[in-house]
Amino acid sequence: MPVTEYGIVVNLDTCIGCRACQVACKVWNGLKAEETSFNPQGYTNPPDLTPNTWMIMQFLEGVEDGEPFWLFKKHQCLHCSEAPCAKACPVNAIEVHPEGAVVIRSDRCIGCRYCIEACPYNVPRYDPKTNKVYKCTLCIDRIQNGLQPACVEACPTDALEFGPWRELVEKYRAAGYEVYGDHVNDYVGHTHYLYVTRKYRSLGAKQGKKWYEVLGLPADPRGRLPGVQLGREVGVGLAALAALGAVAHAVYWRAKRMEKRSGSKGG
Amino acid sequence: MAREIRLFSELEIWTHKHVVHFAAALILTGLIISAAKLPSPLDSFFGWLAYALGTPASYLAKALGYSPFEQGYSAYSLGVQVARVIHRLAGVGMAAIGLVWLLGELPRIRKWQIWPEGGLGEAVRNLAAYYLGRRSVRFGKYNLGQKLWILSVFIGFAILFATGMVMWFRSSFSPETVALAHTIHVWAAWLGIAGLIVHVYLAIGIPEHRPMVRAIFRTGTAPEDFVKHHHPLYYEKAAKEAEEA
Ligand code: SF4
Ligand code: SF4
Repeated sequence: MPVTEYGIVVNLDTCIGCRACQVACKVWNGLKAEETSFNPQGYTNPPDLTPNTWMIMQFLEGVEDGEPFWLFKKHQCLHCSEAPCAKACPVNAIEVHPEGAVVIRSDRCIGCRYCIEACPYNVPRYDPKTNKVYKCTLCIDRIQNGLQPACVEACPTDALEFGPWRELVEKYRAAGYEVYGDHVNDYVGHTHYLYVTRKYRSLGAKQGKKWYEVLGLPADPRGRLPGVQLGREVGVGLAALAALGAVAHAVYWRAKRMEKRSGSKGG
Repeated sequence: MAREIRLFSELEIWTHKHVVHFAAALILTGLIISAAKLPSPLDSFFGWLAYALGTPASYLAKALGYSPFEQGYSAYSLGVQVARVIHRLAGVGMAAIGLVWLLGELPRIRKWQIWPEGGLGEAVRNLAAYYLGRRSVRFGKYNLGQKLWILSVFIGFAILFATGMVMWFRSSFSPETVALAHTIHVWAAWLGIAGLIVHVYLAIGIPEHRPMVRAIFRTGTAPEDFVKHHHPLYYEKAAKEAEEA
């Protein structure tokens, strides 16, 4: 039986920024608490992802049409279908599960941080103490045991919805929502975290931006993977060409020598 | 016995020998590190070498009191990790060899003939004539191809060393710098490998050139006839110097 591809919808319109998901993520994954302090930038706390904090609620403030807005954006790995991080990992420590989860296997990670170079959403975090990189797992351990991801289960307003990816996209599109993630670009493919809104659809329009760009989700996200990959592919080709050239020259050189020898015999 | 002409100093022989060792270590470990991302069948071959390094390393870790599991590495990852350590040490070793050579060569620096005698156009024509037309041409100690090769080994290694250092100490640099360094490192490494294939072929693959292999690896000298025929300009210079002395 084919495995169902799942997704998680983050509904910006109904999220109240209570951080229940952030706490549930910590609890389920057994992640240590952070030493936090007052964040002068706003209410986001801890201010960024860390090796021990795999998701945060970002509190985004601004003014649109003279009206202030306060938005809550759940930030974590988006679980890209093309998973450039996995393509960059030299030891295949990042597994891409058919359920949609992109998971780092700690026993394989060597701490090279190539995945960080490749991720266009600035997600994986390096811990120098363990020399490994960490990020959200989409709660693959729960999904494979018939449970919802911990963050989804904890959400009191159903702003997070877990379900088969295609059904979620169709449902929210049909209900008139704007969706980020159902097709992003060829670099990330589609994402298994889907951000949706009706309320904030025109956010940023005055500055010529899309609502998701105001949220920090790029329209055309790109990391540094292609340059490295191309270097390797062209390089292997060049090396093969050099070897072929050597063989061709050896054949030519030999023929020349024979020709010269028979010429000097004849002459 | 035919007279021998000195081509390479003891220092040059020593340097070349160790450059070969360190380059071999760098290339092998570099390929092991990137094995999983290489096209088939290179991936299986170098991937197998990663296991070959990682398995004994995990036994060693166990003997030293760590279990490989506690250490947190699978055999493959441990192999790549070991390769990374060797890669870094070999990079530093190679730089040290280069430094020793440079210091030793400093007194001779005035004698370096970097620009081809007779001009660039002449040097290009000579090179083409030799490799395609099989005509005897008037090369000095190094022909244009050899000069360019030495120069690119220097520049290439400097680039690899600098970008490698950025990758090694990546926390001290911006993500953009690290990613750029990684990209350049991969391109430069593969250009180096392709260049090395040509270099090894020209030295070993062409039977007429083999006296040079003996010279650079062991004696430092080549038979007079060989030098006269392949490097006449250098031969004349050497003969003049011998006369003056
Ligand atoms: S968001 Fe980054 S870490 Fe997550 S799957 Fe995409 S590339 Fe990988
Ligand atoms: S840091 Fe770990 S997960 Fe990331 S690319 Fe390196 S080995 Fe893979």
